[in-house]
Amino acid sequence: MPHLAAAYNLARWLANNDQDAEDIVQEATLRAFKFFGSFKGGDGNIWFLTIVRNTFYTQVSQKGHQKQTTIFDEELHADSSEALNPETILIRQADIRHIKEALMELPPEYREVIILREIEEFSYREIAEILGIPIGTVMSRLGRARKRLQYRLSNPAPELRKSLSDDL
Amino acid sequence: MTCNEMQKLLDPYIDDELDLVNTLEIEQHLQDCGACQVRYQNYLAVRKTFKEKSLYYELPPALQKRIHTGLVKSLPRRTSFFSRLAEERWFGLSAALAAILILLGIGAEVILLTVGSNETERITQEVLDSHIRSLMLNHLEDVVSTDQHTVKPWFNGKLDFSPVVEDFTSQGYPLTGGRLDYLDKQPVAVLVYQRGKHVINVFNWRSDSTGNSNGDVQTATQQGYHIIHWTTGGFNYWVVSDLGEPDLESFVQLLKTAVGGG
Repeated sequence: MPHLAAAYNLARWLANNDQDAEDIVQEATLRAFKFFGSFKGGDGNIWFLTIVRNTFYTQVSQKGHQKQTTIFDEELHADSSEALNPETILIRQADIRHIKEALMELPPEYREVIILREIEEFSYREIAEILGIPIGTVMSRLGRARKRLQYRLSNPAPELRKSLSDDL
Repeated sequence: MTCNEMQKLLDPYIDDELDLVNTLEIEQHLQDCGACQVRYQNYLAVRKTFKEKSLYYELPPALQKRIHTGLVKSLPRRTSFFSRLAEERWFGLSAALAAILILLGIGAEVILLTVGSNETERITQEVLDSHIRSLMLNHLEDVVSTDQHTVKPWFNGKLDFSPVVEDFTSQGYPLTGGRLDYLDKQPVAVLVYQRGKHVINVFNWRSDSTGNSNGDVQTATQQGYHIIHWTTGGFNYWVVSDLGEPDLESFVQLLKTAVGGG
């Protein structure tokens, strides 16, 4: 069941909890059935993921604003950190908890691009189709998200940094 | 290529979305520029973190079941006037649902159900067409007789089975005759009954045992005609008429008893 699996994974990364993710997927299947007439052919997986993703955003706007995620401040990760080799080592050691936290810090519009590219391995064109944005926007969001992750993974929050240096 | 330009193209480069010319230029630049090489390595390191399998949230098995139930519940239902005698049945899944289920890859058993129901839709149309044609062309009977002992042997040599033929004149449904027909890719016995001005065509042929064969009656109304069918004892029985439902119901009961299998 590749289609449902990808749908659940995306919903889970967007909603950040199991129950909401299940509800989103279930709601999406009902919408897919209802609006099947609008499916013009092509990749059914992509069409369905579009519905899943839109279902999430519809529910978010219905529930009101989610708590604000970390301010997406690009100055934080300027070139100064990039030339240091030790950063590469830190990123490679990043454990699951760090990665998940770093991903959840991203606003959903950036997180979904990363998930679709890195985990589901869709092409830029496919991602553009699922999200309903131009390919150029896919690229720029991906770039910003990756820079942000790079910074976050190599500069973990203070409690985490302490345990990392213990390991080193 | 400048470092700035390279950085702008780093994403499509590592995602294999870059054209050949730019790809080669980047590779050349990376050989010459140590700082950009480090940038590239950092980028790769981020990407590598995503290879971690546990970042993929597995589909909960119960969810698939819930979705199936949810979709099936939202199907439009046809009315079944035999619902008190048999379980309610879906009479033909819509093409949309079939496509959605296949699209979502939900469960082989559901797809089989879908296929079976498309079969049912096809046969329904064939049976209905034959019924209407018989009325239009006034070609109802090849053997005209109310005597079941005349009608039944008439089928000998024309079919590889002998249909159950019974007259229900005393109950108000006289047998008027029979004919040979062809549908579902095989020869079919048709028994013709009358109730007042209404013609009842009973189509009977060997079942190939796809779909249910437990005798459950399925009902539909299409193009103004009532179509009732069931499978029992290895045979399909399809009854078509514009007779009113209560009378037709009584007739079907008589027929079901006559052919056996409850």
